Amino acid sequence: MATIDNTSRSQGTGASGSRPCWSCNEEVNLRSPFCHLCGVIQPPLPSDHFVRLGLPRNYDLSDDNLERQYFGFQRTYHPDRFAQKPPREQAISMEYAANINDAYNTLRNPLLRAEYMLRLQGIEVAGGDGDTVADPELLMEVMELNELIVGANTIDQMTSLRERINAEVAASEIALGVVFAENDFDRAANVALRLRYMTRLSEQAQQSAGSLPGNRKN
Amino acid sequence: MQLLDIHEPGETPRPHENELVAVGIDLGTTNSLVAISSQNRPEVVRGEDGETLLPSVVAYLGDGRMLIGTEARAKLAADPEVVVSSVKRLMGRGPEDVKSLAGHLPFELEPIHDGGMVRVKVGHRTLTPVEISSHILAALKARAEQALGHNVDQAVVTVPAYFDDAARTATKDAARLAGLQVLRLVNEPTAAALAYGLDNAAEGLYAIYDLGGGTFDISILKMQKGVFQVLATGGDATLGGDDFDHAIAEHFLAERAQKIGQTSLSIGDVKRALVTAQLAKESLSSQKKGNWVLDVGGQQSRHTLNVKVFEDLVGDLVERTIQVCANVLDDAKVSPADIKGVVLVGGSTRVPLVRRQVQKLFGKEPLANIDPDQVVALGAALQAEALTRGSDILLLDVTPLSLGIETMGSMVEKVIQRNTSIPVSKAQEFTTYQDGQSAMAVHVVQGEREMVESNRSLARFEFRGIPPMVAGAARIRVTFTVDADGLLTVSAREDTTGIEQVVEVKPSYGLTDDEMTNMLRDAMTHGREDMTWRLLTESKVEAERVAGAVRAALVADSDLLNEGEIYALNTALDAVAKAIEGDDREEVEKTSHELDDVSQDFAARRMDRGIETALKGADVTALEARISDDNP
Repeated sequence: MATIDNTSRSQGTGASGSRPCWSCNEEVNLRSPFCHLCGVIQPPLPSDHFVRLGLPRNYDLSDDNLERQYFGFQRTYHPDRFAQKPPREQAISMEYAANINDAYNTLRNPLLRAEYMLRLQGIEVAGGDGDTVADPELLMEVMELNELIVGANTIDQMTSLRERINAEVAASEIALGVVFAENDFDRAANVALRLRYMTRLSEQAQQSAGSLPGNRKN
Repeated sequence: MQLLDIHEPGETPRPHENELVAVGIDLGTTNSLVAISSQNRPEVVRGEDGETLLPSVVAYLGDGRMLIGTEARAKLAADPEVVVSSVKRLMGRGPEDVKSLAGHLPFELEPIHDGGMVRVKVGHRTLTPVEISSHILAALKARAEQALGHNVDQAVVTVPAYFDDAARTATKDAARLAGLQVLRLVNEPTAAALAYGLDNAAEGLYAIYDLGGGTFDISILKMQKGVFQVLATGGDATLGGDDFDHAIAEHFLAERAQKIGQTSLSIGDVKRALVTAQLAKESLSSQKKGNWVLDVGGQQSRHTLNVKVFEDLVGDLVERTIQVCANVLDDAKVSPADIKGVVLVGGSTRVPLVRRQVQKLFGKEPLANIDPDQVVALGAALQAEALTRGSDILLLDVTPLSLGIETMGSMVEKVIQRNTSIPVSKAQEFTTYQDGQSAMAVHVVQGEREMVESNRSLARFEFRGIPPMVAGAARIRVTFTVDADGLLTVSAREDTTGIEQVVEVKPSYGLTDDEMTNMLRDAMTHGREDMTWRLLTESKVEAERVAGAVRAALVADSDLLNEGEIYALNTALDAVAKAIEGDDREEVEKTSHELDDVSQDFAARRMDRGIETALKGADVTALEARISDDNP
């Protein structure tokens, strides 16, 4: 499993040079995943999720575009395409496919995407489990919403509360698009932290809604 | 012999002996099927009895013979002790799991002392579920070989989506024992979606509700332009139509006990009661009520059952599947209204109550325009074709259960969450909790619960050779990899020293490598009856091929022969046909060789005619081109 790597965006963008094909020993361009001579798949190089899916490194991305790229890459690299190949080629294709799945699952989630883009800049979003929140205003807001969720005891109350929280989630996502476009990573880290809390509240609200009486739709 | 295989120009030659044909196999709890696909048109292979379904029932007779399918099921009433059915419910299971399976199990299990997989006593043999399944798979393989006229050694085998790692590994082992290389384990609902989707050019979100004999699966898929993407899957690997049978059988037995008092029942009695219950269930799919006679313990009792009582008996079981569906919809983050169609799979979806409840949840009439018994095998065959011949189809599946590691306080730290697309590889770092700790126990578990003991234990290993450090300083990186078959491999690496250990997860209740080796050796040497049977089948297939070629040649070119020669050929053909009906391999081979000898002259004359025809009016270049085509 390739780890995140800030320095080498090698595969798609900055890569130059070549490496010998493991199968026929021909020198293969680092950018090429297949040997131009024998056609055999080459082990994946360290890369990032945007490069893996052939996407520009922008926070704003459309679901349709992401999905199209994902399916396109899996059509080429999925192990099903290598079912009749020797074990080593199958193993390499599995590495690609696992990386592509990881890229897709990270980038399609607005919170994971923000955190991932910050990590590419060497910034870890604070406020993980056990961390204290630096921003007391955010903390107050979260605690207030949390109490509202615990206190809600009708479907209507919960529905309007969920709408309020989901609006906060959506607003944070829009804000992230703006600050990432400006390369303002410090502000991005703050907004990402807000998005993390709002996302968690949204999940809590959904769970609580499920346990309210009379909710099952049959 | 190949001299007789002359093709008319433009005629498609029959598949060559060595040509790669992989089959699709649905290894079911109640019935199994094998299907073959060519040019995206899958078809179920029928047995000699003309049936598509092979009952997943095996009888081990006293004389060492083995009956599989309908013949084995027929033994159930008279001689239940030698018959085993529903063995899929035991795949990958240990004694503790089996204890928790409710109801009377129609199996006599060998007590186990040292862990490992359960063993079933049947007739005078003691067998693992893997071996019994391999016998069913071998029968399906033979069925396909009979139809194709050549060997089949690659297959796509389906498994319930909710099968855990142990049950998946057991299935793969069974195929290996049967001489089949598994190209891919495909989840049953995914296979069904593939068959349904391609047949109906379906696009959008679909739910596949698959209630089989022993397992329940629900998958939500997004289908578009040849991509079948599973969004979420869920199920219950211990819930199926068998449980409906158990409910009815218990109801009958309770009635019987009221009428004639309690009597002790043998395993054979339980098997018989279940057969009666199954008949009652099937009949109540179309009738309002019926009468049945229970014949157990040497006494007969009469029972009436109507739909109302039946639905009361199984209502809770059906409700359990509906609750799972609701949870999976949540996991997939879709509502019932988003679902374009619900496809019914599995024989148990014939029960009207099941259909009604599914319709109620999804708010639309479920689709059943492909035979719910066949759709999984058809999808498996399509995937087998895709994997051998190449295809634009893309199946993107997920892992049904979360995978994790035991941490301090018997808690589970999840490494891979359920419904993650596979293949997947995830790493997590762990550290030591004592100064100078040199080893770390790694306990791999599968399931959704917080505490270790509520989950399935998959494997344990010890990571050794950690250099002496203060507590919390070592960095041990544990990587979980799930391949496209849904099978897990775990590796661990200590980062300061670079020591690495890779462990192929062998389920705690699986077969050890030694056991597997022994079984393979058994199948080769001691399993003489299996071998004889296999060789006989192969000889029959070859004899059938020779006879077929001669018959075709007689139709095409009988004018090359005089009456005496035609008579001799027909006599030889009859001898082969008679030998094929019997079970004497030497006789099959002898008559087949005789036919070959008798037809040599005929073959030579046909060859001459073929060359003459080819030469006639053909210019030299075209002829040369054809000769080089024929002799690659």
